[in-house]
Amino acid sequence: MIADRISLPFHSNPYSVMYHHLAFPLGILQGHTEIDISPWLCDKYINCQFCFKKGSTQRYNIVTEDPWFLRDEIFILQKVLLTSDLRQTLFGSYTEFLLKMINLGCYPNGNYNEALIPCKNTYGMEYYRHDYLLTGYDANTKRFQSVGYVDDFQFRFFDIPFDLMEQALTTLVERIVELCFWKINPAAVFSINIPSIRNELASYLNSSPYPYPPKDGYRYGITAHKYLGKYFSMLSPQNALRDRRYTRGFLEHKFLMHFRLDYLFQQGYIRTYDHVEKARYLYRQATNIHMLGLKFYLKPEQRLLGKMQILVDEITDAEAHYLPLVLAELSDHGDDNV
Amino acid sequence: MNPVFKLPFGIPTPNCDAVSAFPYGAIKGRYGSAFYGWLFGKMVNCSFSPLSTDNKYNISLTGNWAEGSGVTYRQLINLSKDVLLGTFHDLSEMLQKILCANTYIMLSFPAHSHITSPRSQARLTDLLIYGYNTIKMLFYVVSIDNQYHLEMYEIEQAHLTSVIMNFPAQTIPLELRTFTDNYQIKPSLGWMQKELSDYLLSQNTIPHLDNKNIYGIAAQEALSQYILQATNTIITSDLLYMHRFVEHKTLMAERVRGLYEMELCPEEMYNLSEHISLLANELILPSHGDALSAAHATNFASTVRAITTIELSCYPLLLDCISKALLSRNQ
Repeated sequence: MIADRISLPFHSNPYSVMYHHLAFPLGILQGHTEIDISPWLCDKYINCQFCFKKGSTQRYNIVTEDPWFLRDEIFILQKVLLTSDLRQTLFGSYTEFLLKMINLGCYPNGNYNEALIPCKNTYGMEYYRHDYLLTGYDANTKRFQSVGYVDDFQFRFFDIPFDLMEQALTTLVERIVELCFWKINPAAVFSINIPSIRNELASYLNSSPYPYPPKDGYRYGITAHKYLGKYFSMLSPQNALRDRRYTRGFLEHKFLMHFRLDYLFQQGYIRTYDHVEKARYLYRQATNIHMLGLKFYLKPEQRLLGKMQILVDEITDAEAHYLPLVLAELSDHGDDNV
Repeated sequence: MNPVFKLPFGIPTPNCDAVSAFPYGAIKGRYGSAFYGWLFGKMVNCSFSPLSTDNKYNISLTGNWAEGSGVTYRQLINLSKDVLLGTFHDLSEMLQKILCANTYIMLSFPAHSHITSPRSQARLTDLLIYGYNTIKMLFYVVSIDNQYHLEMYEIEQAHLTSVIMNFPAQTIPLELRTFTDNYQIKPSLGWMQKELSDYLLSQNTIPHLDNKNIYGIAAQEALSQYILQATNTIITSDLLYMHRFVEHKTLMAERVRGLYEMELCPEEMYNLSEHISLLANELILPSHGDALSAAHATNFASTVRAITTIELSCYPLLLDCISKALLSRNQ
């Protein structure tokens, strides 16, 4: 027996929306307002990477191999990998299966043929495989509730009719389709991890991907941001809109740095309020970079790009100066992991 | 659905390790003597990984389910218990439907599991379900326990359901294997030639494998040295490595028997490989949980030495036989 209407918690403005794989888990976590993720968030989204490889569609990114925090046991992943015949035999149509899983409190996630979804900017293409997340449904209007980037390059909620979602999955070219279902682990612990904050900050400042091995064609940490600044200086009007993700991502990185330091100060892990003020100032500067990027898209003037790079360099130079002081204060806290 | 249904499963020669035993049994059961076409190209070479903590010695370097060549394909159902119970009122019915889709069901139990094998009472490590009988309300299963014993038997539906639902994790990862319809296994002599050559030369020419590992004859010598150094320690996975070594020789003997039956090698070669297999199977291995004595380790090392000597002197001739067979097929 399924409910008429379900809307699982999902925050409309996750801390990072640079990519779906960052936004989806954060949106779910932030949507559960009964959970305070602040302590746990402090050692996340610190390090970053820049990719030089030709044709890369994710030049700038956060360094993580576990975007759903399975190692921290924050989320529980359920998964089926089935041919359409076996899936039909066991679980019925995709629609029936997805409705059932949403009723059980699970967020369906996977890939579908996005070219069939009207509000997507790939709508009408012959085929386009992209990821999705469902957050609910309305059985009366026969629509799923989804969230993600739409044709106006905004990250927001949108509806998908049942029949289109069914087609978007049945028209996938792969013979065996993967469906993931996410749920927050009821036993998840969102505690602060000071040693991890120190390690991540150190990696960021040392431009190292530690604890992960370095990859060819990548730069990390503060150096990655330097290269990002250089990349901004070479934007063209054609890619300026797509690359709003990167100015957005850089802004989010500074927002989270301010969020982190503010929390650490409130909890007594750092004593110097100037660090929090500095982080807030740099976040405002990062906002200016994002605005300049938008301005460039509307009116492509080369001087705007030069300004963006200068601001990125100012921010990273400032971080190279004040974040080691933050690190030094955190070192006073030994092996805190509460 | 038929009231009684069994997927083919032949008694596997490798019987301590699900990685080799389960695909062996399923492929042999399905293809009969044609399964040599699969065996010729599988588990010929071996590797030793000095840095690994739980998989130092390995005889399964490529997927034994032959997914790459299209013999089987993998599916997965990894759902939480409440979802499974919320979706299927009766887990048995789900298992029966999967089996009727010509799909084997497998479950590996983690090291911290306390679930015991329904037959041996030792800790259950791996389970394969290959059939059911709704009249008698039972399933046909193969299980391996932590003493590296494989058994095939019938288990009551309720008991099997209980074993599955007591899986010690939040989700139950049911691995599914389906055979591609109408797939014909072709003898992979070329692959055996390549693998056997790699084995004798202590190398690996399969691109995606880790080149930090040691391969072939050198791998079994490295294993021998490792076992000598492990003397007087409590062994867990070390015992598995020793069992795998024995299986490697048993499988080679079976492989060579296949070649002999196809008149692709002389009887002497068959007799030699049988002799090697006998030497390996005469090893007295310690029981699970016992310390590895100096006698065990020394005996193992001397057996490895003896076997290596025979292999190095005889298997190049076997390679010649295979090369000749391939040449004559190409003509």
